Amino acid sequence: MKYLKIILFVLILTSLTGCVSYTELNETAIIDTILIDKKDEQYIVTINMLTPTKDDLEKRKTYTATNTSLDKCLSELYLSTTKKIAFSHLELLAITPNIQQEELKEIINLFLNRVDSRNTFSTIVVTYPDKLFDYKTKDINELININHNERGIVSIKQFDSIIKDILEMNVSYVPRIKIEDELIIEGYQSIYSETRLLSIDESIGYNFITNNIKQGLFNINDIGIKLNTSNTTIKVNKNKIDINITSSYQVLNNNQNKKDSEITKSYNNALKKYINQFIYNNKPNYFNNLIEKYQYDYYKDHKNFKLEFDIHVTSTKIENSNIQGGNSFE
Amino acid sequence: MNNNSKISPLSICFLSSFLYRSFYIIGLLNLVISIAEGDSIFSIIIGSILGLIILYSYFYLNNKLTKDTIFIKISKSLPKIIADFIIVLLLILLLFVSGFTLYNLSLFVNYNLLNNINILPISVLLIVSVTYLASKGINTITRASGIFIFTFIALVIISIITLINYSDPGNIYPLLTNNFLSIYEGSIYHMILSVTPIFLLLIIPKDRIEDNKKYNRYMVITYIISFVYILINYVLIISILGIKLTSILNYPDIIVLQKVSLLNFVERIEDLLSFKLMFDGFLFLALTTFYIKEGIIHLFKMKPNKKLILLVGLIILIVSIYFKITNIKLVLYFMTLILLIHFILMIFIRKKS
Repeated sequence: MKYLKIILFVLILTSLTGCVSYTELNETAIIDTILIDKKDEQYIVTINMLTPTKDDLEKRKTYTATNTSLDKCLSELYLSTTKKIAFSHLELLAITPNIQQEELKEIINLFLNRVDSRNTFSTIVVTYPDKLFDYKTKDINELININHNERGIVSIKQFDSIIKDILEMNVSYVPRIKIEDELIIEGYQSIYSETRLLSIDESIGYNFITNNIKQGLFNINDIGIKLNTSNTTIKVNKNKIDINITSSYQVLNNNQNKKDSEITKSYNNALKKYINQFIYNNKPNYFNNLIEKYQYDYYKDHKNFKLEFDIHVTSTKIENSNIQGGNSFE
Repeated sequence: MNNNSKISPLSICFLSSFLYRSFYIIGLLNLVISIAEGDSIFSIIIGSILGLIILYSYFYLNNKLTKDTIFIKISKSLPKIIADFIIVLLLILLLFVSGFTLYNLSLFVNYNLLNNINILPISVLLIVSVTYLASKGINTITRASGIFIFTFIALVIISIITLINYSDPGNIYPLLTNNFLSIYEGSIYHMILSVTPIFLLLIIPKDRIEDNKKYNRYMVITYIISFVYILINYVLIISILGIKLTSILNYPDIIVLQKVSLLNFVERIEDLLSFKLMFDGFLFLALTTFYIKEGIIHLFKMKPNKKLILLVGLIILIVSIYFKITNIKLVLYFMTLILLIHFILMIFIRKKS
């Protein structure tokens, strides 16, 4: 029995997983950003590789590969970096507007089949991507976060929620950033079944509809308004969609000395305009999905239904001293 | 430790709570979703209610010939040739089910914890730990489940509290999109694969359980809590990922756990949290290994032998690596046969007792 234990112990030691097909840390390419573009039937994949240095500063280096498929690009990158590419620390996936439905399918398959990919990284569409790697990934994500918290135009979109959107609605809305001398947020870009840049107003409208707006700054008839809180509820009855928004706002400047009731009315109309612009300028996939979810029997029996919308906005003005009050106007 | 010492009913209840989820992560959830899709929630509820029949069957068999293990019960109830045949059949079926569990648990570890590593070393490490636990006897297996349950509860609380913010109840809809047959089929599969492993506990004679008068009541309470947890876990996954995304993922639980973030600075802890998913398969394997060893001892009238458990572990490893069973439907057939064997036994044991 003693010998058996020794043999067993040695067997376990030799089969310890750390000893089999291991990869040293310095032989692993830790990627934090990946940019995917397509031109002339060729994928162009650029990665940003991080190398931790002794003085704790991140050394960044970019590598680019061009080939007919993403797998071949990654193989090329493996050869040029001489390291095993790891997506486990990926924080940003940037795609260009050239990426269409078929390319997106390939990208989704690539990440779903990689066990080292966590799929919780944020995803953006970039125009003029040449300077993307001049900026740190954290700064780009922070820019989107600040925009979400203060302006309400776009918010962080994680890759897994994009897959979910595409599976359910055939379309997803992803923040689009223009990179010139500085980073400029252009609004949401629809991807997959349709590809178009949403205007700033449409992007805000989308955030209102999805109840994904924290704060916002609006200039309505030369009056500066800050959205403080907002809550959207959507009720679906057959093909009728009732959108109810309850929000509170602050007036930042009122040079024309307009009455509170007038400001509230203008503000409510502006919110309705944002929502209407999103509804009527984009495919109705988001709302069709709502009808499929909540009115399945109707959805099943009426394939070519026409959507009817009813939008209500109820707003409350908050005084700048943060004391609740003001008019309520519907 | 005395191998014939009494076992606390609570320890067995803890062990049973893991047995109900033996196949949950390694294929049951995906199987039910592939059949009933968005209506899987009804399959789980109906399957859990129907599972009470199996639980009752377990109580029935457990209350007969209370001094004996399942193998002695079979031998006493049936003619020798038939009894031996049934025991051999049971052991072979369990061997294949164990092979499936070991292989798929190794795949899970490979996917989640040890990427790009060969399956064999992972399986060896798992089976060595399982065999060691099983070699210590049923008392140690039940005590280990007692330790596991507290770790499990802590990990579950962390997961649920942090994930609740990500859930959107709207993702559970649409409901009732499939015909009743799909829901029923899903519920039957769920019932068989989640409740049938409870029969493994028949290896413990009822007389070895302390305070066994309250045992059945404890078991029913554990059953209800376990299936409420399974339901909550399912709702949490679907409300975060949606049914369509969940249905294309191998391990949706892990994808959900990747979102866990404590106080916005403790992140990437899914590897730690995923241990809660491994306990189920691990304890199932330990109990099955012990069960098969006891079966062989009974069949060949052998004296208790420590080397035998090593042999059983080795055979399970060989079955796992050689057959590479990944189709849970095959296991479903095996478990259905095991269920039928116990139902038939119920008829014959009544006459003998």
